Amino acid sequence: MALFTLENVAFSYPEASRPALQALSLSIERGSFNVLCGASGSGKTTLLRLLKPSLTPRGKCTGTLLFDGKPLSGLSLKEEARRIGFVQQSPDRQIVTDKVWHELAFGLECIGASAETCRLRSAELAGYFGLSPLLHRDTHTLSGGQKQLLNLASVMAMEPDVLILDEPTAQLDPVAAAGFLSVLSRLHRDFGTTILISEHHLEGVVPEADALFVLTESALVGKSPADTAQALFKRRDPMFRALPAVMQAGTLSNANPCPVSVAQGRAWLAGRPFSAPAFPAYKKPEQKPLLVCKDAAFTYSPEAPDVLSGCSFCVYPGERFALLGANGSGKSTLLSLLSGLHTPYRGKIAIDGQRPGARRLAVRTACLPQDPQLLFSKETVAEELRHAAKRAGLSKEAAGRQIRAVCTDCTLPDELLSRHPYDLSGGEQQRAALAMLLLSSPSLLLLDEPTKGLDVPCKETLCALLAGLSRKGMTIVFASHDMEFCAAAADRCALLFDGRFALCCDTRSFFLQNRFYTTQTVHLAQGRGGCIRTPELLQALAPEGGGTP
Amino acid sequence: MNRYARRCLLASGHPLCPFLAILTAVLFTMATFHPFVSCCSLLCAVLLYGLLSSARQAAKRAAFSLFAAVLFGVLNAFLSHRGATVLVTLWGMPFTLEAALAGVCAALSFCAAVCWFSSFHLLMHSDRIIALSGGLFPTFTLLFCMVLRFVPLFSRRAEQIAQAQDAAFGQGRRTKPARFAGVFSILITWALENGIDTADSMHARGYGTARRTNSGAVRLHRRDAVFLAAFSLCAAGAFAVLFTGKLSVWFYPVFFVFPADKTTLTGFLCSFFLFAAAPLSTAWEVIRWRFLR
Repeated sequence: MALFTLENVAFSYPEASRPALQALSLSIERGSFNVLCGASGSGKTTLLRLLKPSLTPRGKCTGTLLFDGKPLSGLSLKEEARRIGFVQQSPDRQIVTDKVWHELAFGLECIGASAETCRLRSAELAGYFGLSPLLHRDTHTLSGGQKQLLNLASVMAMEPDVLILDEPTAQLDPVAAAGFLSVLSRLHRDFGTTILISEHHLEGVVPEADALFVLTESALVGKSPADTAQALFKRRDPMFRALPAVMQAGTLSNANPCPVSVAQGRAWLAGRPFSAPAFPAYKKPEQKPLLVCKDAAFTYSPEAPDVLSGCSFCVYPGERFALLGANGSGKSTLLSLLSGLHTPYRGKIAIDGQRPGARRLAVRTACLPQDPQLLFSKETVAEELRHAAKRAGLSKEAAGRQIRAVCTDCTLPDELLSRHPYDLSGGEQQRAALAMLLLSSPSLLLLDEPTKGLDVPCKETLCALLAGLSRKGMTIVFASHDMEFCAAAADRCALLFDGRFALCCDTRSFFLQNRFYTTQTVHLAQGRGGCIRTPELLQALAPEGGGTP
Repeated sequence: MNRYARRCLLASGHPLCPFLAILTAVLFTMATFHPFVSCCSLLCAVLLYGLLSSARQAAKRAAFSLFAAVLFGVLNAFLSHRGATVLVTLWGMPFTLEAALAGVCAALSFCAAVCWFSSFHLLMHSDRIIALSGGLFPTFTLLFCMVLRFVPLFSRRAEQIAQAQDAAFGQGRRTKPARFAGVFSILITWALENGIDTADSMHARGYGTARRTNSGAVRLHRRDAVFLAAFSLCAAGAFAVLFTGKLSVWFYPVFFVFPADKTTLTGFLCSFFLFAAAPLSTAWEVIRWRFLR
């Protein structure tokens, strides 16, 4: 029997002009692994919260919601807390207590379980999730991945029938995200837990998924992953581009069965005809480099090891330069050196010949942090922009003109300007923060993890925005984990490892030279035709105009 | 904490033992300024602190206490001129022995209390406080836990905000108070939004559906019970003698304490063991681990 059954469910927030969800029908089978995806703002979080009564937002909900055959509204709060587990997006915000052992036992304490039961479940889960060495540590000392695992363990301690996860890996780096998803798969395989996960990085979950639901503007499409991909392709839905490269290639070529993982994809692709066009070779710019970094070394404290030791590179004007590397390799530190926040203890960094952060620096530098919320201090986006214009030293009329210009550049529609910055979605917040920075007309823009938590359409918008800014002459340096994004958005890439650059060259050579740290397209095609981006692969497979939506 | 003291009764047993032992000692110290009581309390407090941290720290505390005693003695002689025995007359004001003595005793008691609280801080960390109060006051305990979690989080976030603002907009011409106010405002907004997600997480796990149990509760073992019983006996004797008034002291106009008789001697003995119970049980473990392994 289905664990969750939704029939014609529609939901609208109070005072909203249009409904958040319209006439949805959905069925979650017991013991299945279900993946939900959709563009941000499509209502994924609303749908997931409708399935958890204690988190359901206020509003008008029509239709039938059944849990285990009985109406969801008839479930008592205590029973609902125990039977339906919910893991949210932010690893930090969900943790309540200060010690790991206490957080594990928190849920059980709340429902009144005895101290012996709490101890027993904590012991079992600490062993299963590998949290035993961390048991007496303070929660604020854990890494993001460890915190999210702790949240999952804390929810699993209550033995839920179904586990609902709302973008759990959005704030994690790729290694931590992969670790988390593999634990989730293990949970599903070992215990048969029913899982419903909303995710943007579909490569990690689709191979394990029994059903893939896609929430689009008009409806919910949901079947097995291959069937969903077919349905999206037929409807020319933009969400088709959110699917993993291997599935897009398979669906385009009517592969049967459609490959879902790189291993399956390689085998399928081996015998297929492939004709990639010749890609233009990279031309080294003739101008003098704008940013020169020579042998820069930096450490946060004398006792700690060097974060950067002998880092050398240069960035040309108007170029988009990507810094890649594992978590903790020093990308954010290097950006903080470039913005003038810290100074290297050895070596030299010069922006147009001057030290970064110097008072009368000819080249304006602006840095967008990982979390755009660090910049918001006013009640509405319009006020933020006016305040930023004032800080940039613009007069009232110039400010008005500049604000209109950056809003057009960053695609911020007028209705967003009157809202509180915290009410915007992740992508919109980032564009608003970027607009605030652009008001001071910087010549060098630094971005720290710009794609954290963004869905594929937002990433494409950001990529187009950066291309537009670069064409106007702005130099952009960004640090990112996201290889697909770097392949699309950067002119040159550099891999940071052990305090220095292991590789620094143009994007195409970068991704084709790497064997492991590269895009899924390169993994699939293994360098055939020089394709590094998904559209290039699809074009090579179907050159007769069988294009993608 | 000193590694040999980690397994002593006060550090590893039921948290009720150090809680009661130290708080009763402080209460008794403050209840009377009898020189014997003050000196005994100070000696035992310094001894306990030294066993828990190191001899050097204890020596530092002892030296500071002596210095404070001398300072307060002189200060009190300066401020109060009520005693009978005049030591010296300066600027027309008599400096009396009784006033100096009162200052010395007050200082010794105060330093003893500070030393006891330092030991308390070493022994009672957050886990043990939660184990104690979780059963009786579950809401307060949870609040305490959450405060402990939020303090380092907020200070780190404030630093991140300040750095992000500088990197994005430059240092500019803003004054320090203006920058601080800006960072503070952003921090508060973030904290409130953060709080909503934390509240959601608590509701999702059933907070408020039933009375919270205390999973960190510690069982009372035999050695804890023995210690508490012996200690309670001493404390009861000492407070009984205190309530008879035989341990009172008068400084003005003449220094007076009751002569030694059966009641006062019992009082002295009980108060000695009240103060010495904690350091003696700790000393036993330290000797065991340090010398007898």
